[in-house]
Amino acid sequence: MQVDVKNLSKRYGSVVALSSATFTAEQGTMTVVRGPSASGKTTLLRCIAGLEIPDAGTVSLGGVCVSGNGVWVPPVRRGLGMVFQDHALWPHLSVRGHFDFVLRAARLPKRQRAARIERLLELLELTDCPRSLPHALSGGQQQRVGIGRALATEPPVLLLDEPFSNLDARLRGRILAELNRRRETAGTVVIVATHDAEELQQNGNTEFRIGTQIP
Amino acid sequence: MRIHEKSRLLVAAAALVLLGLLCAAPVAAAFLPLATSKGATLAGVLREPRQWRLFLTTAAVALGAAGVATLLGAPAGYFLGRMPARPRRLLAGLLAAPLLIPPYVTAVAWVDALGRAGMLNRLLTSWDAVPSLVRPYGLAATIMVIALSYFPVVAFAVLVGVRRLDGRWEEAALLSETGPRTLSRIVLPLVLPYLALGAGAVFLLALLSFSVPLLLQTPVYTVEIYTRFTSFYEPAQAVGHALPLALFLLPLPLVWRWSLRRQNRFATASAGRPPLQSGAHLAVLGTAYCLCLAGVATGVPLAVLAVRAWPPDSFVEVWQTARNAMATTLLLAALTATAGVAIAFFAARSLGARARHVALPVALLPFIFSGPVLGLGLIRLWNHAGLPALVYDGFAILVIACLGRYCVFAYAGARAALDHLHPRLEEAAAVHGAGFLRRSMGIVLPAAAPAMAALWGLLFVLAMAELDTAVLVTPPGWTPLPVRIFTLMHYGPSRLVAALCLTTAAFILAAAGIAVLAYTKTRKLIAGAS
Repeated sequence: MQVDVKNLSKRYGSVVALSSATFTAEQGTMTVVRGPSASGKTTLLRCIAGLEIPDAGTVSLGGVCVSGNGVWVPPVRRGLGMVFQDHALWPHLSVRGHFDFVLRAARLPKRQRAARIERLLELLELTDCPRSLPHALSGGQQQRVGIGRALATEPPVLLLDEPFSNLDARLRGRILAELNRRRETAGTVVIVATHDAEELQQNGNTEFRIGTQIP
Repeated sequence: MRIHEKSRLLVAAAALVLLGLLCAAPVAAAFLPLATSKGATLAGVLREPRQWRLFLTTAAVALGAAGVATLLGAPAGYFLGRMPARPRRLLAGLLAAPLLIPPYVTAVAWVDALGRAGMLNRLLTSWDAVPSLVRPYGLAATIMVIALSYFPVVAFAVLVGVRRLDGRWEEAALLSETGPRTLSRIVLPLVLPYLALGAGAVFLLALLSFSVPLLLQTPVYTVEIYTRFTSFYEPAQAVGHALPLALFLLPLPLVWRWSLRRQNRFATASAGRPPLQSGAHLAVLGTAYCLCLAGVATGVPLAVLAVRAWPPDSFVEVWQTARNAMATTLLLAALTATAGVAIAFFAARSLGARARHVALPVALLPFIFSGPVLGLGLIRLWNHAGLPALVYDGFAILVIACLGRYCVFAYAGARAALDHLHPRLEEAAAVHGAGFLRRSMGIVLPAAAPAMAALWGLLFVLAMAELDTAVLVTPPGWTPLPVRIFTLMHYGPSRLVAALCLTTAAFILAAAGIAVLAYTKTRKLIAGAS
């Protein structure tokens, strides 16, 4: 599923958060959105996800306009996965509960749900705390739960907002390998917003620069 | 900061003595005849065939009112929480009105509207196909009136809960779920601690409700206590009914603890940020719902009373016949509020950690054993020849009754307000040589002035509406408005009762408005000064 962003702009009062962002993320690619703090990376991802209504411009998924030109498709019908910058974990649900929530929403049968949860717990090295609530997890573990929640339904588009900031190099490598596997085998579009893209650049991904301060 | 100063210790001792005299002594005096009968009276009371009926009716009123109030209030709280600040404040003010208007005023209005000659009843029966479906008396009517009076408690509890939610929790769910399922699986579990707290508070208020069940002829424990004492003069049997009533209170501390634990667990630094989905359609729907609710709970009863009180001559008659009652009520409210805030402020300032653990339960006693038990205790404590008679036969007994009943709110509020003050404020004054009283009056009181103004307003409103205890201890020549309404209601709703009810409601709403203004002004002043 290709993601097309054309002339996307968003203001909050008098503050311009995003100004005429335009890029295309082809199927099976990873696009790295780079820029300094407050340059609009998060706003861009939120507009693609449908969590913000842009003031101007369009967002198309697989050639279908989902935002702009008088159209606005709600987030639940866009079929995306998203990792939030500060995780946004639900405080009343356990690690397993987080994965189960999104898998139930995807109407997966019970057996498949259980198998996928086990796989995610293993991939993200969370097998020792499946029943823990978010407040009992470390920062890194919380981040992995957020990533797992986004990966769980195997969505065609993954939006990741500073997804690796709390992870060590080994785990980062492991999750990146999983993301690469998904885009190669399932054609998943991965869009990553980060201010530090060295590791991601090495993989030869497409880069989209945002904000005026970047040299 | 706790320095062992002589003046602080003296103030603490005086505060404890006052709390004991106002709260513990009347309750102890009320239960004394029961204690001296060595269990025989209590066993007799519990064996009475009426017990089951009383128990079940009381449970039905408390649970029913809490349930209906939750159904009405929870959506209102959710809608308010998702609205922009300005309409939220306006609608919250409208929804607070039913809480301020005494429940017996609402009950009088519904009896007037749905009674045999009531205007709504006539309207219903004028359609041949619709018989008179609604009875103004009985269990269902009692539940509805109490729920319509107290649903704002649930609404405001849910409002706080929704305002403390992090909008991203909802957004994260909305990526994979629809709005209603996100509401039921993410928002509801997270707001549940606040909802439970609100519903628990309504359960308590309904359980202790006296005037509404009495007016609407529903036999509950509080009414039984009053009837046993006033009609049969059986003080031991009367307070014997307070013990089964107290059984209902046992689960409440558990709900309170569970709720606080869950609140702390869900606390987040980014609270209050609404999700995107709180769009214009939600604001329109919420506004319509809140306006309808405010209309039914406040607008309709007040309109019914206004129609009944018509022509305006009724208010001239009220002025001519009840101006003394008005003056008594205003004086009672002002004195209760001033004395209550002063006692609460100095108790909260001076009591050490151990004394604090005692003071709150002591202050809570008269409230949780219901107004009639406090009234009975005050009669047993003060109705003696000599010095006590001077208090009992005069206006002072009304002030003592109101202070005893409501000082728990003042004390808990003052404690919360003072705990929120930065200790450095006082430490800076102490370093520069200011003693306990000087620090209290010169530093702490001005810093806590907005909260104290709010507490003063709260006590004023509560004392203005006070009936449950006052009805037993009102001395001759000092009848407050609520007692006068209650006495006149024996002869059924009338033009004069309606006018009196409207006058009481107007006084209370005006007082609440002034209190809100005072709170806002003092808060602005403090903010400006700092």
